[in-house]
Amino acid sequence: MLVYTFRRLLLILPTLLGVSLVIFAILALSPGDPLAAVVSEEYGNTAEDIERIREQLHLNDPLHVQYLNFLWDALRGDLGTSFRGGSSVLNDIMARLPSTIQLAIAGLIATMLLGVSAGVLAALYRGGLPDKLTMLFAFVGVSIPSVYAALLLLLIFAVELRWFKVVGDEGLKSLILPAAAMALIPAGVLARLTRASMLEVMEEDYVRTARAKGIREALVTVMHIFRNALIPIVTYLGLLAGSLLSGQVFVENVFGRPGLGRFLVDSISARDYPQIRGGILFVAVGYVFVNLIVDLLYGVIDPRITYE
Amino acid sequence: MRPTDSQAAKGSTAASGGPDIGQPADDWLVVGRSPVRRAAARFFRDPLAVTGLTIMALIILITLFAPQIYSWDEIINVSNATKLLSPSAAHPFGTDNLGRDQLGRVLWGGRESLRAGYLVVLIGLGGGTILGLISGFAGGWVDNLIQRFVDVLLAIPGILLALSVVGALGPGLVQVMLAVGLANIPDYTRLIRGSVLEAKENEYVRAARVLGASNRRIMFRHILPNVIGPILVYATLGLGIAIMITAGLSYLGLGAQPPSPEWGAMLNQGRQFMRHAWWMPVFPGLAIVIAVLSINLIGDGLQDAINPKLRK
Repeated sequence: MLVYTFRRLLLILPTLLGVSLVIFAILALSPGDPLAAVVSEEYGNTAEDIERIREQLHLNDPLHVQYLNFLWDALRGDLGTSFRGGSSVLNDIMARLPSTIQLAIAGLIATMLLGVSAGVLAALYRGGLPDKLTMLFAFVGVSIPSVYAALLLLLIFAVELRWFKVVGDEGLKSLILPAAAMALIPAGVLARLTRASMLEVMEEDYVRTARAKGIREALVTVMHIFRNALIPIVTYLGLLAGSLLSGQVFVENVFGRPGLGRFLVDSISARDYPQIRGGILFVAVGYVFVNLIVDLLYGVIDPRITYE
Repeated sequence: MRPTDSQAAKGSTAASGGPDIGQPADDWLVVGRSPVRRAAARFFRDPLAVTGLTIMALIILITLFAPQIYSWDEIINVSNATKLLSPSAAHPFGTDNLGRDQLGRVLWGGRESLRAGYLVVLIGLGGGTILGLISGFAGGWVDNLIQRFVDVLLAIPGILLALSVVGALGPGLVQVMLAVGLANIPDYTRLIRGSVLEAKENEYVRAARVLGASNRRIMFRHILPNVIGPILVYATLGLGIAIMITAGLSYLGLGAQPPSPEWGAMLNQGRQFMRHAWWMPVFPGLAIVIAVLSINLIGDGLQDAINPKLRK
């Protein structure tokens, strides 16, 4: 296990290198001048000013030199300075991070609660009403864009029922609606997956054996069926991270939460390249690590997986 | 196979007592037809799939004829007299903050949103098919190179790839379509490469090679038709996601810009006037949900039709 963990950590290095290269390349291939949105002769900057700023930001260096500088700076925790206001991109990101992590955790919990419980109920009452309702929810849920789910929740629970404020921070309470909106699509997928996985495990010999030994049905359901059904569900967690991330970008903006999703969108709208590049690199690297953790979790949940 | 042959084949199987040997009713009926026809027959016997197809056909028809029902001027021009009217017979979806008929805008917006979705899938599918076929078929260092590249792209969540392309190209509907389409390429490449590797092992491919068929012929005549099924299913389900993501990015102000009636752009305006006019966000969103729902029904139907063993 330790050797495996170490090897996975080593293998992550080329991935991170590739990810940084792809992000740098996409943004460097931009057809326009990255500076055009900030300084230009239209705004009264002289040609010398522009040239001086270009030189200052090393935009005249050849691309491979720019990339190596970008990489070296990123490794030392320097993601550059924003075109607007000149603040440190890493500081900007860190200021937004708590809000994003809070919502990510709330969204994950909402997804698991909604998806797993609906899936388990559907499997236990196969063909019955809970099953039909779950499958309907799963089907309709994945067809509602998170932006729209968020708007509808706001409309119903904040504007009409006034249970929540439309804008403004209400502490943990203000996480409920965004988390629900984010959870809708992944919970639908998770419910289907949990149901299928439960049904498969229910047919296994060891479940029959457990029942034959006279173990109580509730215990069989939890210890024998549910625990083994969890394995494909954990596999899905890795994919779920991507789905939640995309939900987060949309939902943060609908609810006006000051998180990283909103930061990315704002920086793209303002064409602030250092912010775009730093923000996307930061989130992508975080995503790679989340996937690594999920991978390592398999072994904890399923002792049948051995790491040679 | 020509229709007459298949009719004859069907007749002879039926006469030889197919149903007596306990085959499922839907298989003996169609024995002897080509796999495509068998899948089509299964698809059209699935009520949910047919419902989805009917709704999608209706949506396409209505959006095609939108210009005949509402003129562009009607949905773009500001009219103070009809600001924020709630839904009525004259304006079934109400009017927006600039006095424009929302039904007309939703219909016109469908042209933008659906076209964006189709183009996104086309870009992803086109790029992925080319890369996947080359990768799966060539093997060796070419395969290795493409796969390592795809590995890296898959390590970045699709939404981030799309955002970085929009970041490079700047906001706009065309840019968003390109971005989401490009972000889809790695998924399709993986899928198609896998199918090709599987299909390559089939005897008909070896037979074709022994007969001296060129690589290109084997690739397009023998392998592609045999891997198209799962790809079609994936692309259909991907279309729904593409429509949701492009609308979402337009909502964020990165895609279609006002006064475009694109559904996501309409949602954005609806958000601002939500307190006074619930119909502004509700109807364009409902249009997205209905379109995506019908596409998902078609996709699920296709999946069952192509691979009946998976049916639950």
